Amino acid sequence: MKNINQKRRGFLKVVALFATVPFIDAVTNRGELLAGTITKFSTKLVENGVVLTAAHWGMLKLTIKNGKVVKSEPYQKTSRIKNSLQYHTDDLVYAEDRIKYPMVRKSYLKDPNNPKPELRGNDEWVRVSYDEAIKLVAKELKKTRKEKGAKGVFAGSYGWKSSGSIHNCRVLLHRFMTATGGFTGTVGDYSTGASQVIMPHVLGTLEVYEQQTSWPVVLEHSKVVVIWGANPLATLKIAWTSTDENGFKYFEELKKSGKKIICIDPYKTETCDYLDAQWIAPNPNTDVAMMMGMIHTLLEAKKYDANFLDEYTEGFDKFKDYLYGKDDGIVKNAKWASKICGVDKKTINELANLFYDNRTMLMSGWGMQRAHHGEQPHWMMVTLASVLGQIGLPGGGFGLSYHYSNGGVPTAKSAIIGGITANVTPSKDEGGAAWLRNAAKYSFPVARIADALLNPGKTIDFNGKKITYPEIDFIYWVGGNPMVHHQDTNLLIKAWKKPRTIVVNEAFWTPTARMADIVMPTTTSYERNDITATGDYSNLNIVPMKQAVKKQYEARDDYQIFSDLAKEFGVLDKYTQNKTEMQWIEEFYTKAYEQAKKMNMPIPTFRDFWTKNQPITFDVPYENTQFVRYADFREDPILNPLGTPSGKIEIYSKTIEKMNYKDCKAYPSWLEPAEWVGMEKKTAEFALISPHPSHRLHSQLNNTSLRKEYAVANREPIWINTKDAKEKGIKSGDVVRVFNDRGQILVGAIVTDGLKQGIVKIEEGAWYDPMEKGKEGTLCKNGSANLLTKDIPTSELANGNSSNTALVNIEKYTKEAPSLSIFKQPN
Amino acid sequence: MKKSIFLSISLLSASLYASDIMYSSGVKNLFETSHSNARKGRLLPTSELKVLEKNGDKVKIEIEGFMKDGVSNAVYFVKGKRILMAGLSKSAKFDIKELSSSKDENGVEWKKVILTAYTKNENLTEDLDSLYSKAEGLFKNNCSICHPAHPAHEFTANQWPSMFKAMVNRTAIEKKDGYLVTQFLQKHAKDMKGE
Repeated sequence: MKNINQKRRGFLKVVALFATVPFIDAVTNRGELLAGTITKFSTKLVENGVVLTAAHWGMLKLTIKNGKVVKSEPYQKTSRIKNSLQYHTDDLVYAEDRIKYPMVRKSYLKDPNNPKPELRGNDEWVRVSYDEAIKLVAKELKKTRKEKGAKGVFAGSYGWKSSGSIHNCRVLLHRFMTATGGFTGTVGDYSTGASQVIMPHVLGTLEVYEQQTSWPVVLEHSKVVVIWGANPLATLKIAWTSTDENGFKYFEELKKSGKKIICIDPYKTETCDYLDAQWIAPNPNTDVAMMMGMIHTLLEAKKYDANFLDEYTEGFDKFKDYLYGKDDGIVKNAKWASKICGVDKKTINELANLFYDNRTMLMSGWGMQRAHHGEQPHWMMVTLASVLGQIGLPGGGFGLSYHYSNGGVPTAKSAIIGGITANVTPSKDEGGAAWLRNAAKYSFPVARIADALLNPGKTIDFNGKKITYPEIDFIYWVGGNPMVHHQDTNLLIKAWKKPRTIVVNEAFWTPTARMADIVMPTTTSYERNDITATGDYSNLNIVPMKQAVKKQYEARDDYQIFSDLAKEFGVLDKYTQNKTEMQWIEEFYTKAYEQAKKMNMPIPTFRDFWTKNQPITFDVPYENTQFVRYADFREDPILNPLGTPSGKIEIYSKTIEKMNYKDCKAYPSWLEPAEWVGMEKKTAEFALISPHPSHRLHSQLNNTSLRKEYAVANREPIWINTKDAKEKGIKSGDVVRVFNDRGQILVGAIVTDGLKQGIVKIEEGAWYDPMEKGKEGTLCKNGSANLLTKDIPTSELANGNSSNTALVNIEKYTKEAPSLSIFKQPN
Repeated sequence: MKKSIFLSISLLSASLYASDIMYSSGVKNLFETSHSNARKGRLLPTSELKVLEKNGDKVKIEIEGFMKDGVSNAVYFVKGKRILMAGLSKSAKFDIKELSSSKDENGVEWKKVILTAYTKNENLTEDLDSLYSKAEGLFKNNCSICHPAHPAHEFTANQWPSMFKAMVNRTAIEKKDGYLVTQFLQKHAKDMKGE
């Protein structure tokens, strides 16, 4: 705490501007949060001044004038890289499409037993009182549990809920459902669905969410840095807690370092432009073949680390047999690879040699594993890195998290705050305890939601197990937007019409809220108090999230909504433990306070922390700046074995061999994807990639004025190669219809050379805006990429999503382009 | 309530003299003799041990476990899985009795052994369940803040230590408790059913 480094000190000067936050009211508070509860904390707001808060996109300085947010800006600058997400808090709070009141779909309100689910998305909305809405949700939930059991209630929910330790809506939902009798949940996520299942077999750990070899080590030791299928300048704008923004600082240093930097990606990312890196453009879904070509080149040139392969890996020989075509007669050399990936043989050879001859860090993103057979790319990359033999050496090997949540930013020695959990004892009379024992049995891989809704009773294979889908009749979704994040939206819409009841807590009229039966209006995180850490790997700061403005319209905190629902089930005390929002925050902070005391690095009391409205920043010990991933394993593989069966890197996995899956073999392999540019009977002309957006957090912030800065023809842009565009008679600024047998969308054209021919790019996350509401197959006016993507599992192993495996057609849209209906009040 | 407290107290005192099954509640040092204070081994929490006799502030104990061919300084909980019961220093000269020997599914030989050692007469309990409850509580209360907690039986006994190590720095779980939670997770892992 004392030795804040010089650079950071400069940024901390701004704190003097912050308003002192009221702590305890002179008069006892009226217990706004929970009726009948007396709070000792002040809920007074700053009418005029500057308030500190935080979002996934970092610590924010909000200027308040007469009780309204008038300005939003970053609390700190760690680099010159602009984080475009930080300036639009007022757009969110005062959005035209705020959900103002509890709303119920007309047919549902009329008869919840016969609610005409086919009208979802195209029915009238009826305003009801908050109490009426709570009673309705409680009654219908009880009914479904009675009729279908706990497994009939889907509350897996999913999405990037707002930052904060108490108003963590997904956990609050799980807490409520656990306390009242159980639910069907999910496993895995959309970001790393394939890798997080395959990596434990290969490396004995998740890999994708783990600290990387620290940046100072990379900057000192790596000679070549490869950014393979990642766009950190876009994705480092956010973090799961709140970004510490130091990833940008290190990418700025990387730019200045003069190192050889290579970006391998079908499109020229802004990261590639920024770093002035060499751009290599393979076809989407073909990185595996390209890596195999490199491995072959290295083996032929005897440029490999035989000792590393022998001592630290398992089963390389079996892979080598496959590489040399022992069974299929096909030698997977650079020439073979070139035909598949579209990168010339010479370049593949050159890259392989460059990597071997220099200390090379392979930084990979996750887009390549969100594809059919998405288990293979990172497995093959680990195999390539094993051949290169630099794993565990300073600045060498591979890293799967430099683009995410500031991986590689050294971990501070810090105290950790607590957070709300779902760990409550279920009520016995609701059969909850029995459910808890069986909970995992019903959980299915998260991206199988449409399949599960459509096929109750179907059994699927998953990572060596069998899972049978329950019959889902009630969905409760919070803090997420599946109508945008899930693949093949039209299939999901069909599936979405199966359950009797769908409840959504939301602040905005998202496409998902529009497809619900009961909508509960929630606050944004600027309308409630909270606390968060920043830096998922660095644990750099603890930040107060002081409520900036009053709750808008009839919006309630998720905590209040679930507390009131818990009351209907007679478990209010269990749910709230008789604590208010501020009492929870104090408790979470105190956890860190006590820990800090024990570690002999005292932090302010909660009162001082909250009143000052400033972050606490922790020191980074020198040893943490020198962290080298897998150095301990390399030093002593016997004492520090990996968590795999052999304790080594498994290039051949006997565990996977036993599963006997057709679409995931026991060794990494090239498996042709279901749709790709090189396939024999192409179902459409262009390969579509839908990477993480540059100016959104998935679908978040699409409803702000930030959209004006990137929209083309007032809709989501599509990037088209210059030659392709010319052939189709498309110019920049044109409205383009993109379509395949799954769906159709309208987008605005950006014609560019920064994209490989035959590929188009549409960033995921534009809000679905149907031409004909509630109708499957209708045109999406705003350009949501997932109308076109394929809803197939990566394989039977991981069942991850395959969003980057899709072919589409494009044509200039010559009719009058319809105006958008989304981003405003419905009806 | 009172009765059970009385019962456990009486059992506890009896255990100091009789051959009793106990469990380590924290990481404990192992010594070669009753009068030695040179740490020659570490015993992990939830490890089962038999108390043979009391010597001053120490107890003489027996630990039954498995040793893997080629790894001379580790006693594991079961054959074929890296669930560490006791780690021994390279210079340690404990009395290790070999009971039997067999191969795991990968053809590696494991010896079933009984290790005799001394340890301080503290942090021992008969109540394994409450150790597990404590571990489970720590796990659920810390690991379900950012994401739904993974059930213990989602990963294998070999996978859990690296999984846990990768995530624990983001939680408030203290180092000493980390060993307890890891042991709980390993002993309830996917591949530990029925063992």
